[in-house]
Amino acid sequence: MPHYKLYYANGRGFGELSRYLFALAQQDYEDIRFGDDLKWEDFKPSAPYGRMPFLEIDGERFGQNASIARYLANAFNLGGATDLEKLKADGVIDCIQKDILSKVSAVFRVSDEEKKAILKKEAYDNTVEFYGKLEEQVSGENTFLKSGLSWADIVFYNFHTDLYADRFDAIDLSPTPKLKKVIDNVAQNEHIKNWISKRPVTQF
Amino acid sequence: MPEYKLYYGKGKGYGELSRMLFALGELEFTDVRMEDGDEKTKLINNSPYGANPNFEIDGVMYGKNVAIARYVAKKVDLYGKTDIDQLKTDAIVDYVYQDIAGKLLSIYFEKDEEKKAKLIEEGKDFVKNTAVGKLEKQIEGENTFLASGLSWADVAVFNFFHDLYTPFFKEDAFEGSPILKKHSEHVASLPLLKKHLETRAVTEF
Repeated sequence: MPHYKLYYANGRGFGELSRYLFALAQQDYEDIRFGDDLKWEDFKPSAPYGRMPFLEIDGERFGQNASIARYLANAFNLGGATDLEKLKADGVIDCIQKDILSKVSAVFRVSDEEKKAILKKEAYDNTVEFYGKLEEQVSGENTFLKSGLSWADIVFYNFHTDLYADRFDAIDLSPTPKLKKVIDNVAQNEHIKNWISKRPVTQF
Repeated sequence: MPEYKLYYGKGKGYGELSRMLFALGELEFTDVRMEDGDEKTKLINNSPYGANPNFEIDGVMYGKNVAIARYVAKKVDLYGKTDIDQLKTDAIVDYVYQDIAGKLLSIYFEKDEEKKAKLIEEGKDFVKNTAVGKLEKQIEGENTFLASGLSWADVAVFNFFHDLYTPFFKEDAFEGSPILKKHSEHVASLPLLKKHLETRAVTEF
């Protein structure tokens, strides 16, 4: 088994996606969090692509959040059962990471309160629109893929619960009952519940 | 053999990477290049994520350009042979299509000329002083990102800079990077890709 070290901030955010995958697989790893004792500024120059999270596998470092998560998902049998299922999962992930997150992230790049409010509304409307599209991609009973739980469900859960929640107007999931089932299925998973009860409590 | 249909506009844009991969793998597909109009609008509105390219496999529609390209890369054996190599190519392609393209795409749609000019300068600066360096670091083979040889990461970098960046910014992003210049030349010289470049439709973007 490879030796894994995940490097991220002391928060949930983007890093939590991989942490959920490690939890589901009950796979040991070093959960390294930047802070006062370990400065991100010291790591940034040599970090792959200059960003966090990055994953160290047997001493070699790899960047790009979705790529890392896909690698872990495949290693833990959470990638999808066939190439077509993986294509479907990749579409879900890219929709969330690009179509939805781009408008969400835009809010944080602006400090002017008036502008921020406008962008927040845009982010909300955009998210609701794409939730409608994601609803149609749910092929299983309570999972995106027919074959069962996959990282697509985790990426969606991570977005909805860790990245979007608390900062924007809450999204009512009743127009998208399948997405609600996806969220509930992840939230009720024993390994996820166990991780959530043990993990450091952070604002974001 | 499944029936593959790629739906995009008439140009290269975000559809071209998959077209190049099909060409490199000599894999047959239907290259549907749609004129703007009702039919195209209807397809896009009904598609999984409301945008082209879309990819139909045996009657089922799939979306998102990088997801599609990754699937095609797998089918033509250009995804990488190990999971670590695949991770490396995924990171490179996402860096190009998310970090670089994502930053630059908004410039294309900016209406305010003054703002556009400023964004263009910032974009060029980012590419030349940050992105190029990051990509150079990823080259592990002889003119390929992977030590094991050609992969879709090579094609993606070539496609983005040759077909989108250079025509739009009207300059060579790899001017100051002999490594990436050589890389581009190598990719362009691959017989199947060379043939594709010589025979494909000529479009602005």
